[in-house]
Amino acid sequence: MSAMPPSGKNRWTDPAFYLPVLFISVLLVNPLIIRSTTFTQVSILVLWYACLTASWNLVGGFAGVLPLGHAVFAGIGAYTSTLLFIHAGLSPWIGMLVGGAIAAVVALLIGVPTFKLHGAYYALSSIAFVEVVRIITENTQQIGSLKINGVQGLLVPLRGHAPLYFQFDGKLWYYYIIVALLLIIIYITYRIHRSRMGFYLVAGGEDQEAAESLGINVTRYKLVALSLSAFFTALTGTFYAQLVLYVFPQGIISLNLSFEIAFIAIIGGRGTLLGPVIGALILVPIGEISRIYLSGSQFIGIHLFFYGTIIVLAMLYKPSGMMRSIQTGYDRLVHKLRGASASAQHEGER
Amino acid sequence: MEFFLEILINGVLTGSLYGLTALGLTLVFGVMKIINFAHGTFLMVCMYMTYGLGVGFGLDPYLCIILVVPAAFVLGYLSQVVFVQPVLKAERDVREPVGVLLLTAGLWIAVNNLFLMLFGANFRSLKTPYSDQVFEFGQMLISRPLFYAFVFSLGATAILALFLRHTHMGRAIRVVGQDREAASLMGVDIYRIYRIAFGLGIATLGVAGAIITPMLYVHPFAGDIYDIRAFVIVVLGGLGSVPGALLGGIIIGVIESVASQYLTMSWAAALIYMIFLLVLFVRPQGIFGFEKDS
Amino acid sequence: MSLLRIETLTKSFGGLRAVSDFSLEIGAGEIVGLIGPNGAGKTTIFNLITGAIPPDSGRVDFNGGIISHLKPWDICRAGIGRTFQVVRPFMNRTVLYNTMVGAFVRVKTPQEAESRALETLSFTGLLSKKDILAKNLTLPDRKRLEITRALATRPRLLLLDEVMAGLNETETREAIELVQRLRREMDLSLLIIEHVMEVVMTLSDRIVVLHHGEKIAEGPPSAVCSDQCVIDAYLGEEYGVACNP
Ligand SMILES: Nc1ncnc2c1ncn2[C@@H]1O[C@H](COP(=O)(O)OP(=O)(O)OP(=O)(O)O)[C@@H](O)[C@H]1O
Ligand SMILES: [Mg+2]
Repeated sequence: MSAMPPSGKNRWTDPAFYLPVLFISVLLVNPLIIRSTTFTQVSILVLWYACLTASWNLVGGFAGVLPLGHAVFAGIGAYTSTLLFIHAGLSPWIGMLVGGAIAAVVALLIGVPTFKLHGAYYALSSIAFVEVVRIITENTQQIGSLKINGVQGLLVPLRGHAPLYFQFDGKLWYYYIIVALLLIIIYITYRIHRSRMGFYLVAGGEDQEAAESLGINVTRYKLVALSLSAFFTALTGTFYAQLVLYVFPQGIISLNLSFEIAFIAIIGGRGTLLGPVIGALILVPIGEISRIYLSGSQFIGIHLFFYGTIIVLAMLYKPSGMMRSIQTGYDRLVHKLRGASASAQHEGER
Repeated sequence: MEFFLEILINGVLTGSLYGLTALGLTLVFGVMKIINFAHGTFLMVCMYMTYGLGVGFGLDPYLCIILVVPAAFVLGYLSQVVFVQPVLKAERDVREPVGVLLLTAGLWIAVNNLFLMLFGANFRSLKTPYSDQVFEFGQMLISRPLFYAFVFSLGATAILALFLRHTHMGRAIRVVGQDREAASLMGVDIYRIYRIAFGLGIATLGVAGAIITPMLYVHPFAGDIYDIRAFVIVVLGGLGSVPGALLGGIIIGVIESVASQYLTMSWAAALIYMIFLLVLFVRPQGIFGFEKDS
Repeated sequence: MSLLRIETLTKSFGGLRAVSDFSLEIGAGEIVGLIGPNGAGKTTIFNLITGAIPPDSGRVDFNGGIISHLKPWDICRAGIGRTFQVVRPFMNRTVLYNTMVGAFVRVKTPQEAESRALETLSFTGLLSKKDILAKNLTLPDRKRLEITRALATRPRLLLLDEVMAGLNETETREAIELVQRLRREMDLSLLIIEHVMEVVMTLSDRIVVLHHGEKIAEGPPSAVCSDQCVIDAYLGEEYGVACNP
């Protein structure tokens, strides 16, 4: 949001304040008004992808690298909470945080060597990282006494409606949890973006050597961003495990998922605050709807053909994503609502 | 012992073919510093072309090379004009451009599935009289088409290397790869060089597609296994190095064929990725590369 | 006591000795010119001082401490700023953003960084262009931004690598004036690489001449200009006459 948050008492008359509030309210009441299971389900999926992409954006958007290995962190989250639940009876609510912590540490370990690489080399190394982890997971039946079950994966033990164990009898619960997670991730991104760390990530992403000459230890900031990003990606992974109550390697530790995240970020606008949400709003429903309506047709593969075509067109005609146009429109709306009298304080997109 | 030698030879033969599939990728990277994720897709398209000519006109796959290679060149040239070039130009002042990687990943998904829509998921094979024949050396059995593939791979690699070294255009391509600023100051139209380099890169896949077709099934995802493997190879051999691609290919072929005797195929794949990561970390310019940028 | 002291600094690239046994001292408030033909090793010396590349041997002291083993960011913190010969602004960001990045070395909050950046921008005369994206700037302005950004890190020593190359006469005069104000008002020491002899002559208290990585002359401008060795190696006959009026 580029319009300055107002500090005066009459916030409620300022569109820069009430518009975001309005959007969030819509987000909150929507599934209560449109009472359709399909709608809720697709919404959850959109928000889930938005969470993944927003987490990814911390490093893939702001720090100027293209990580294609984030599926591993989602996998760490899903597997950790599920294994802890199965073997120690630990609630996934806690397992989720453990998974996040493990993912953050793994991110540091993998980040130290990989951040020496740049551009295409970095992207390739992250691809190899997912593939290695997926293959190892698929081929491991158990580690010590811990059953991993290889390709088959793990079933989350059912507890019925047990909020303390992250299991609910209605999809609505999941909807609100993922909304909350998304708001947290976006809030943290917002804070980082406006802080010194945000400036440093951007500078290091644009030109590492120049940034270093200005007193920035670029690699250190990238590492912090990556481990934060991995932490939230892992939380999102646990959510997925609890939603579908089943984890398997192909389902989560996959190159496809990694690419989907990057695509969503591109469509929405890499390195913008709300780009991940916009990207997910566009790409996920297209994917879902065309899967539902087209994959049954005589042309198998048609929905993925559409999907790929959209990516290609986006890269050709809108490489900086949709966010910029939406931002301009939004700014204009705020301006209009404030009216001519109010001297609108605008701060251009940085 | 003989058994081991057979495995080794098979590894070398298969590896040379891998090297050929990586050749175009390394050429394109060497010149433009971009990663073409649709590389395997172009290979798949070339396989379909060969298959079509074989089934439609009864042409021998090896004879198809004469037609498929120019067609592949045109395909590559046009793809560069329509897809890659605009993205490259848009990213001119980005220091670490990755737009082309994402663009070509999109192409990969779109075109693979387009072929799935058009031709279905069937596995097709172009049977030739020699498809299942073998050469016998004592106890050792060497597949005939695989042996031919080896010969063609060496030949194609040598031709490309000679072309780059001894022709005017080849030298221009190398100059652009080494220093594009200097080249454009010297009056070289770098985008023209890019188009030709991309065309050539895909043309090498024309050879690969034609010689793979007698051995393997043709289907919309047939190129994918060569895709990531080709990345591994070019990084091993040093991105941009032509002989490096061949050697990298042979190394991967041998590792794969030896490892799959003792491990499952998927562990062998994991092993290759781990070697890949190790090389990236320890020697990012590749085993045979001398480039200073990484 | 000198602010910067370089002792027998050496760096080779493969077989090429880019810098060999180079020593130099710069005192507080001094402007030293570094000249030499293309490929003499001038930029390499900057890279060695700022830690962008590690030296093979030799040492650099700054402000009483050794800095030759430090990383670029620590050297910046210690108080050395630099510009790049081929300017490297953060292209897709505004002039203000670029400058704030530099300012953040000394302050924590965006508010402080912004006010410092604005101060620096008004000093260098870029304030009116603060909201323009760096990629839309003209070359002279990019060079000015490069200086501003380094200046925002509040250095005590500033290394300028050919900041006047490619500028026309008026722009050069403005740039010379800026450099002089840097010393006068900001109390900076400067080490400047410049090809235009007049500029070096006007600005420098002392000139160091580099040839094939070795220092072949050092002294006040007038002395260096008439040094036969320098004339042979670098300046050529006509320069020798031109700068000795
Ligand atoms: N990173 C590097 N790797 C290899 N060689 C290098 C590197 N940096 C500089 N050189 C070489 O070292 C020598 C000195 O280069 P340097 O850039 O310091 O010269 P310079 O005096 O700044 O020249 P110019 O006036 O053209 O800017 C040159 O021959 C150059 O090719
Ligand atoms: Mg120089």
